[in-house]
Amino acid sequence: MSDEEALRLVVDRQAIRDLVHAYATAVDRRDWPRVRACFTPDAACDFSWFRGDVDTVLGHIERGLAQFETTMHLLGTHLADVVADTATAETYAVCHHRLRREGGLADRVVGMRYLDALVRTPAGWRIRRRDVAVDWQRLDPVSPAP
Amino acid sequence: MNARAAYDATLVRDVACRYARGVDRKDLDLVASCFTPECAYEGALGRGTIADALATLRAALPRYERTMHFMGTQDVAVDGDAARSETYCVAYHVRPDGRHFTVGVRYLDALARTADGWRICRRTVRTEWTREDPASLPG
Repeated sequence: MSDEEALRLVVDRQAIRDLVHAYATAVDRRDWPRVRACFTPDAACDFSWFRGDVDTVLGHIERGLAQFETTMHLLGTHLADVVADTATAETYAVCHHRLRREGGLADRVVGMRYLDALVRTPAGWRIRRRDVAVDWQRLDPVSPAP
Repeated sequence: MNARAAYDATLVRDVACRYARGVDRKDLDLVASCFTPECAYEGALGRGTIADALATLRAALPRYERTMHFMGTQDVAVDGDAARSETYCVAYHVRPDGRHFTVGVRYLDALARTADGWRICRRTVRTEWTREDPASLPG
């Protein structure tokens, strides 16, 4: 492999990682135009709770997250395979959702994986297919302040 | 850092994540492909060779409905055909009754460049903390 090929792969891997992280911060800030910009115009998603074209799915997410006081999408384990102008990526996420319910505050925490198919566009890498695999979820009361 | 060094660092970071994917998908062949055959291992799965550790892992996996090895902080240094990496992991283990066993560990790895790519040739696992949580609230 030439230095040029090595550099290209590093740059592509970093750009894909940046894109997946940009999605997480944009969702947590509820910056929907920025969330939408992570996807191709014709992207499709299956979030297990809801599925369809990206606009339908983002509508579900926006309405669903409105019930929470705050959310934090924490990303970890990440792998990506780049083949020319397409890529697949798997990213682990532990998503914290704080909600107010009868009896006080609670945290819904979901351990899941984003399974993405990506494409290189003139504007950079974009997600064209996103599936979510849910590994576990919990609902825990928030412990009282000390 | 030149392009080649950055490329190697990316591949070294990938090895820890491939290990996570292999364990969590119960794909022991993928797990084994992260190590050299003679890799030395010391940690939660015992002390000896990687083959011993993988036998222990194989026996332990059915205890859990699901595992998630959530890799975070990674500190990687590449020196020619050798590398070292330290990877933080919060490993979630879901028991069949819904209880969660959660472990905070550090993987301290020495890696070697082989004909099949980067492989871990010595792994030490340091468990920093564990906790057991009851099944969560319904809903």
